Amino acid sequence: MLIKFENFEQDLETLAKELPSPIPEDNMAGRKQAVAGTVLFLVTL
Amino acid sequence: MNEQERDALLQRRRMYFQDAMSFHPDQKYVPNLSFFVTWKVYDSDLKCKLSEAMMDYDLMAKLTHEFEDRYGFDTFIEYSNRNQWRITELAGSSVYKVDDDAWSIQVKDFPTVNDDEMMEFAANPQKFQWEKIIPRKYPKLAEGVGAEFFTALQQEFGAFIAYCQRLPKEMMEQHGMPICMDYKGPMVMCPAETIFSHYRGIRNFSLDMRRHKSELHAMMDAILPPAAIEGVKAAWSKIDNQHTQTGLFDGDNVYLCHTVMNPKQFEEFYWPYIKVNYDILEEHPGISMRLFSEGSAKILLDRINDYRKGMLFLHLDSDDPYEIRQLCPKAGIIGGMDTHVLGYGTPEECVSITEKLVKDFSVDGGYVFSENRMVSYPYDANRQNLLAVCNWLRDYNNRV
Repeated sequence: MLIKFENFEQDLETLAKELPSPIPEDNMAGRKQAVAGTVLFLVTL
Repeated sequence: MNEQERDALLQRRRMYFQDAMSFHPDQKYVPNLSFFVTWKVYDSDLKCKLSEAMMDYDLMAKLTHEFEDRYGFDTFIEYSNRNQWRITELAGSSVYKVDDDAWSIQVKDFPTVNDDEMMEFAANPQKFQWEKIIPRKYPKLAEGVGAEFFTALQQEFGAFIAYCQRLPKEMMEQHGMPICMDYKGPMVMCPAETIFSHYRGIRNFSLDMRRHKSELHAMMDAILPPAAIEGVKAAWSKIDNQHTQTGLFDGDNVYLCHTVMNPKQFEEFYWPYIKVNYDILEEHPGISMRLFSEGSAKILLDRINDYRKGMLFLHLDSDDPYEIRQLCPKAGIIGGMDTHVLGYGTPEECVSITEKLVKDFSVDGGYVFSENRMVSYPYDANRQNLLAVCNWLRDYNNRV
């Protein structure tokens, strides 16, 4: 997995599938939201 | 300090604030609220560099305890946690530079959203942030990062949150210091602040208010959709009118970008958002919010006078507390201690100013003693002067 921040939807899909998460696998929308929230917080730092 | 002494001190400090915030004439106690930020590192006997303290939460906690041991403030605004440098360093930020010689943190002000991209941002903020802003602020990440980066990022966020939760608890348990802020409910933050600080930069934002009005409004609506504002109102409709049991203030707002607005621009781009908060607070007597308006707060004063007395406590930055009290008798005042005198004056001069502030402002009530700016640099204060002020105030409150 190599994320280059070139495609938001595709990157989130990959991260939601491959990153370990406390959110169950059948809740991909929740996983995507969690990853996006963490990473995008960097924008306001 | 044993447990009994700590609890007594905690109660006593809460009483100081209740006294000040009740806004009655002849306020008895004058609480001492620390507005010291990175100066704590400079003052510490641990003699560490600013960058060392910012990268080591245990060291930062240690020097924060040392600071309170030395001065005995009644509460802190800032628990040495406002700069999340470890996180931005991990991501390879191109924005911050910590200068150990100047004891300063420099921030590069540049637009992450260009003139011709404002509507693209508004159409899908998250996509734009991911594909355009992250690579611009963190160029290293755009070269490609794997799972280990995202795991490390989550851990670093976790460490920061743990530090933020740990320190107020430790200050309460070890020093009898009440928590300054406990948020009773959500507040609306004007989206112009985010655009000013993170997307358009100071210069561009100033020009946008004249040249790109519709694009600016589109960005603001995308950041804070009207439904989100309705959500804040709905949340408060279920919240009672009682002051929080844990915090001294029930909320906190910080305003910055109003400093580049004229009154007409303030009316258009700022006031409609913060008015929501004021209208909510008006309907919740018993709730008080601290408001820190960087620069001058004067643009707000007429409007605050339309609301109930004591609803807002203004933490002053560059304003003269005497002038503010005269113009806006309904707002509580936090501040007054001139950091120039604290840095360059004598202990006698500092105590004399403290005594005058306490005498003049306790007459009408609604006064909390503090510094007139975020104390950051070496010459903003000196130890001897600060000790004289804190000792005088403690003696004053103990004598009452």
